[in-house]
Amino acid sequence: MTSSLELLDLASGMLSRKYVARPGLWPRASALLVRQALEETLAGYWIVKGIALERCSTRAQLICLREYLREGDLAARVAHAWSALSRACHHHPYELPPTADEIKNWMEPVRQLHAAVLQPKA
Amino acid sequence: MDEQMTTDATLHDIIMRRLDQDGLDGEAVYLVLAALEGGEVFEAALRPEAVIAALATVAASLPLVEPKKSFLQEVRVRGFRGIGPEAVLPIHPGPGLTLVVGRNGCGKSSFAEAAELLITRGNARWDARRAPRLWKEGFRNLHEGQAIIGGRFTVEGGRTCEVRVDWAEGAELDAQTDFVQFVGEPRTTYEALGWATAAVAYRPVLSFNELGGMLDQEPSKFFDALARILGLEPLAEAVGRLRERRLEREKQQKELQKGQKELALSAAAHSDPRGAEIAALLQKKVADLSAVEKVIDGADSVSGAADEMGTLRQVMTLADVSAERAARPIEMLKVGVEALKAHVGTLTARSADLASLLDSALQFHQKHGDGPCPVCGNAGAMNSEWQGQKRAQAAELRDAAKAVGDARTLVRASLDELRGLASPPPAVVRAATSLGLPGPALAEAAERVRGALSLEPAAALSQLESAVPALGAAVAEMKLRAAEEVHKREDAWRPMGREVATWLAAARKMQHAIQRLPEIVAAEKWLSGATDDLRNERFAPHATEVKRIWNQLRQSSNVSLEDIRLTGSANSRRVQLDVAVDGTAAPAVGVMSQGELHSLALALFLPRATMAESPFGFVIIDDPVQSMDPSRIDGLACVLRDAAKSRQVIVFTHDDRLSESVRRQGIEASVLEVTRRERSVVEVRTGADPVRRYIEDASAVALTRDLPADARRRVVPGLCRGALEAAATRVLRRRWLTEGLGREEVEGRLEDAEKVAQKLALVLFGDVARSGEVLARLSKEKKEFADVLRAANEGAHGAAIEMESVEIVNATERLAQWLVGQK
Repeated sequence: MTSSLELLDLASGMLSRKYVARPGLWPRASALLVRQALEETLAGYWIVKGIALERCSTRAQLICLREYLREGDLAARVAHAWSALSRACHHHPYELPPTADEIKNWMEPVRQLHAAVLQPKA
Repeated sequence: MDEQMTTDATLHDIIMRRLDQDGLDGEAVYLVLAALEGGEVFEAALRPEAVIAALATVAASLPLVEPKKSFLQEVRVRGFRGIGPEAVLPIHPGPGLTLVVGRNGCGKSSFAEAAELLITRGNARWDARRAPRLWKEGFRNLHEGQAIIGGRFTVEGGRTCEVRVDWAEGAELDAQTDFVQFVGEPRTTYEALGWATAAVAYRPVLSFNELGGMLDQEPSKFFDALARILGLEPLAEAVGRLRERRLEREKQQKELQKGQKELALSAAAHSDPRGAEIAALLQKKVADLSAVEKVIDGADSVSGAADEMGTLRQVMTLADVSAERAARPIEMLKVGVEALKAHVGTLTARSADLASLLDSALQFHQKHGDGPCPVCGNAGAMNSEWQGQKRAQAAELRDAAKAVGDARTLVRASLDELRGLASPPPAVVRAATSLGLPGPALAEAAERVRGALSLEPAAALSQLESAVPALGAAVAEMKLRAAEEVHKREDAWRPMGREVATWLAAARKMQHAIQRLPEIVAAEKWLSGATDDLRNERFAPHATEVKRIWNQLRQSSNVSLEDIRLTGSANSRRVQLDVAVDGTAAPAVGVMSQGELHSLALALFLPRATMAESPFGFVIIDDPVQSMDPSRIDGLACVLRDAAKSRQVIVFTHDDRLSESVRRQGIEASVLEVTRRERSVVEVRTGADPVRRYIEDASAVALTRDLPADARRRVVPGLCRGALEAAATRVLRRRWLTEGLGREEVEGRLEDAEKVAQKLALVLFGDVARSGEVLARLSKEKKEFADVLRAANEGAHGAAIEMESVEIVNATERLAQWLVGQK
């Protein structure tokens, strides 16, 4: 099983052309990977905390996260990244794939959340 | 090719015909023609002698040829704007619609800008940008040193032209190297393509900014932008030349009249009578300059008032009565008087009478011969001896009589001369007296002399001795006083005279210059009228086309475009847009939304970009859909379809709405997708319909060897889910639009059905709430369908799936096909 950080690296590799699949395919593909990384990191957070939330809907988990991560705005940024990634992963009429910069921005809160999981003092 | 020349020539032709019809005054006709030529010809025409030369240079008419059109075949960009490594935008070179779709910032606009730069080169638009410096410095891509933009154009008739611009590393925007070559031919130049002027006139590249700013800018600029296509600039320029000259001359005229008025005032106030006279002459609007000149010199005065100077001059030229001058006649008088005195009381005094008597007796003797005296009867008195005696005596007597006569003549002549000296013209004396000169003293002295002259000569002589010197003194006094007066007056007049003379010189020059003003006015009036007529004439079909496009674009807008005209001239020129809101007239810009303004700008400029006279077979429109309502996008798609029948229409757009509309309306179009990775790597791929694209992407990932297996396993289901969603979206949109739902409503419902199961529930049951029954329904149709939906949905979230990636893709394709087949 690939760890969530590895998933992020995979996604980064797509952005920087490490994997040459079809041209123009990478935006949606990497968005899918980043979203999965986010969801898995979130699940890991609850497991480390010992709170059985990982089976709930992601939306519910994100609302709870606000309560557990009171300091800073990380919870809000994670929630924002998730909803943006979800938009990118579903087919929406008229909407074009996300840009590389957008995906990179969404990866950032995932990394931070991952760091928070490793230091579960909060 | 030289577009400008052909346009000029045709215009001349039209103008010549109209001049023939209108019967304008001959001089004005020359001016019109010369103004059309401009430059030296016009300068010369303002001098009458050169008018004929101006006529001779009017260009002969040439027919307008529709130029061979160029189509874009590809645009290559490297290191320019948002594009790093070389990216190529391939386009079918010929009429047809191409949509280039990509997110903002993906580099698609860089293609558009590169194309524009290739076509317009150093065109003014680049300099006129709001932040030209920023743009000039930022034209280079950060990730690539060398900047190259290139284009391949296919020209009607089979030629292919390669156009390229490149910048060395670190070079400024304007330090570019050009390369222009028709394939298989020697290199040529950008100028030789004749694109520079055409790019301004027909603007084949319309950017979003341009569309937005078009109606906001100054009315005159908008007017110019539209008027340019009509090819009437030469006329407008000619009108401008005439106007300039007219204004210049009118200004001169005003100055002249102002100076004239001021001069008249100061002249009227001057003590010298010439001042009043000049003031009177200057009262006339067009003053008689030569009359003024004569008055300055004091010559040939018209009014009596100025005779004063003449009087003084006459006084100054009075004959002197000096001692020397009087000495001669007085001496003559003395001699005469002496001579007469010598003969007084002597026989000589009677000698003339006696001589006549003797002459008669001698004649008697000669006739009747010797005989007695016929008077006293003394016999034999008349004989030959008597005759000889008396003949001698008669001769003697006659000599004496002559001496007396001579003396008398002498006396008379001297008296006459003296009387002349004592007769100053009474009118002059009177006039001089009224000017304060001692006229009476002179008159009195003269009277005394004349009185003496009427006495017996001897008495006269004695009186004259004192009277003549007195008269001499009076005359001298009179002349001196007159000279003083003249001097005084000239001193006072001189500055005024000089002022008038200066004005006179300027007035002469200006009067000459403004002589032709009426002709210039007539020429300007006629030509600007003719220009207006021609402009409206030429603009009419254009306006019809604009209205047609607007009506197509406006769709549900309640703003209708009634009329569009180019009105006004000079600084008041503008584009008159008559619009009506629900049938009520309204000012155009005020009542329109941003989207409507863009539509209008597009309606105004698309006809221009597709004119027959343009050498460009393509139109590039950068992002016309921004701020457009969904319904208007359908209209836009139709407009583009129509334009694409005869032109290559390339549209850059930042979202999928236009391509969706094109697809739904069955409009034939190629779609290119532009994406941009990190470090400005821009990729272009041919777009198919979204279902197809998802399937192909998923299939590509499933087959990609260098991708880690886990990534493949995680990515493929998500893409497959996208394909199913896209298929459902297509079905729903088609269904709802056929049912008559509005576009907004349709899109709103689609947005609400967020999950794939909800979308499928709508497709299968027409009810979003029944998403829970979807799997069962699919399973009933085909077990594989339910499996693949589950795999796609769960796998998209990273759940472990049993199905093989390739298997999921294939099953998804079949399910998608089945879905699309649902009514």
